[in-house]
Amino acid sequence: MDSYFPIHAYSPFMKGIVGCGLEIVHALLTQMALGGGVLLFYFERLRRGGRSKYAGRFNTGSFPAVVSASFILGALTGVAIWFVSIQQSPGRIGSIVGGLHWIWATEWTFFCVEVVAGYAYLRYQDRLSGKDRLTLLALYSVASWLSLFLKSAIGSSPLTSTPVGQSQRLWSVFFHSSFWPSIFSRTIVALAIAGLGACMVIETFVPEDREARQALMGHASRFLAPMLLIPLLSIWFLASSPAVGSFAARWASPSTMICVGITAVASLVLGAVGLSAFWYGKLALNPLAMALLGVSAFLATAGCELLTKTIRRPDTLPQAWFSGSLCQLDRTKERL
Amino acid sequence: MAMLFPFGFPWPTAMYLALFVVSMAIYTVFMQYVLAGSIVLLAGYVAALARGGAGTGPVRVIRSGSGLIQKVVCDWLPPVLGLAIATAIAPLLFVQVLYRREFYAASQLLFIRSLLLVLALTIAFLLLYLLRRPTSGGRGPLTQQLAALAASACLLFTAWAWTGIHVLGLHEAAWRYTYTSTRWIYSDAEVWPRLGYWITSSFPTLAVALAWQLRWGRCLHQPRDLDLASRRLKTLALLGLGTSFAEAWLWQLWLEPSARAVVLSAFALPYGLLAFAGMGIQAGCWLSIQSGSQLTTCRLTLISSGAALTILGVLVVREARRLAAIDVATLFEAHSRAAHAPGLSLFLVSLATSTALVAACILIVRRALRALQ
Repeated sequence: MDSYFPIHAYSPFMKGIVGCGLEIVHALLTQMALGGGVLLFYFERLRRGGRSKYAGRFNTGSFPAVVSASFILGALTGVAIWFVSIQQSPGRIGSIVGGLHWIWATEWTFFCVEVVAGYAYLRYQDRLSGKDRLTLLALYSVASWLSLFLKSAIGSSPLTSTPVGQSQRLWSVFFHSSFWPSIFSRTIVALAIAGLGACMVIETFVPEDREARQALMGHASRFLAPMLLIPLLSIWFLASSPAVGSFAARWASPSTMICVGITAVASLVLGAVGLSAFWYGKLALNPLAMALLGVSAFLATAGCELLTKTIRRPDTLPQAWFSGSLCQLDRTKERL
Repeated sequence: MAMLFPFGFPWPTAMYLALFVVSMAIYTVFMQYVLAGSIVLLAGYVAALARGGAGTGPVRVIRSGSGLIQKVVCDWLPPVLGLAIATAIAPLLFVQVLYRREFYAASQLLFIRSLLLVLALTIAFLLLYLLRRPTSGGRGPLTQQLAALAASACLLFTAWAWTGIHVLGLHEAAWRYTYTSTRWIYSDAEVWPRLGYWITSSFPTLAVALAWQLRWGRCLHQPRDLDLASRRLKTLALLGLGTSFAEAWLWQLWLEPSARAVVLSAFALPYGLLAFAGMGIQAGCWLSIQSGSQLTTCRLTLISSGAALTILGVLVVREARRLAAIDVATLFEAHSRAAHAPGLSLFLVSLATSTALVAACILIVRRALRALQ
């Protein structure tokens, strides 16, 4: 730890609201991009199989543009997170970049595939055959999930007790206990956000045809059903994260309880709507219900993101950085 | 730095320098398309306004060379900006590994500027999407002109902000003053020739990219429009090459002697000459173009090779100037530690796989378009 930087002393507003706020928006956008790709793939299959006469109309509508905007805006908010992290603790983000930059670079290669496949589909879908459209959407979905997988590994690595990048073993980045609940819950939330986003697009752009609207919403809302698993995954995540203190001590923290409570209630509401879509096939959601579900999706995402923040400070790193500017070397010098 | 770049350094430093320059070169192509494209688009709207043709935005005036160019630019700017943002991530990552202290210090000191540039890029991205849509929905020509102006301003601000962050990272002596000063604007004499170079050198890159686009879509356009457009592209490229050459020359005159000595040494001078040779190839090929039919694959490949040489050469000279400003030897240990971080083999495999998948996406689209022709 031989690098020193000019340090700015920011108020908790910077570490809390700005840092976490950006991460929540970033998570919403990137998960929308992933779930949107899977949803478009699902509708493309419905269209090819002749199982929905409205699926083609949905896929040629405004939803692909929403998905393409979300992956670029997601990348931009990711860069903003980088800049804010540099402000909070350059030593910490420098250590993470130094230790995990090959994984970050790997994530970037998949992101490039996601962008190219996404734009190729968006621009040329009316000139492509059904098989080509499916291929591009499959490529897009797989690449964006792999990108999320690697980002989750980078994001959850500072939660482990081993200093980042020092274990020298690649698989230790993935095969640690808090990684798996994190990636499962992010995937489920991604599908739910896309399902809800699709319902909003359908409500806005297909207002005149009630039957089409209900049929399309029935299909899109099914993506909300896995949200029922989120409360269990949150508990798994909390139990498996070894960063600070015992499981019981973490449960006793008011901030943790608030986050788990918000996530659980919001997820159960969304999951129940998804189940009803499976049950009835068609679904009609008015704008007010949609707004309430939108708030629930935001709260579920925010709860998941804040849960990770309750067990680690954004300017510290286990056994490496102890504040925005204090590293192991400084502590050793102080003791001497 | 007695040997040619990137040789003469320990292998981790040389590897990261090479990776940074190559990834930066890929990003530069898209960045220059967007930067010059937004200016061309704005110029089109201003020209339409000057002609007094209310309701005749440049996208509608496609029965001329400029109109055709602006139509293609307007259509392609949003996805190319998306690609520029996507490709920017790799150099942004490698710069943190290579020059952690310099980059972090500069972005900490210019934090507001760093965050504003992200906001500016977001606004530019959304405005370019709006411009791409037809003028329905109550958006008049004045709104479009304002949107084009705002998008160009946002992109120019981004270019200025990045240049400022880069230049501040080179001047450690200025960090203390910038930290204690209450001034929000950091300015250095080196910012302007650098910024001027990047803006003007964007036009030849845009010209060759547009020439390829016109060639691939030639069956969709009138031959007369293609002839006019190719002559416009020639003017654009030659103007850009001339002014960027002058600015590069100005920039090296501006440098302090120690930095100039490194730039003009065996370490970087061959790359500088390569960049000028690239400019010469481009100028030579553009000079004889009079019609759209002369935009042949062979000629465009030659111009593209010249542009690639120029971009690579300039980026190496840019790194030489940065390395002249810092004590490189202090970086070696950090680079060696970083090179042994886990995941290099995973990155190489994923890079090869992803390159193949990107090629597959392009081939799928190309096959479908050929089938339609």
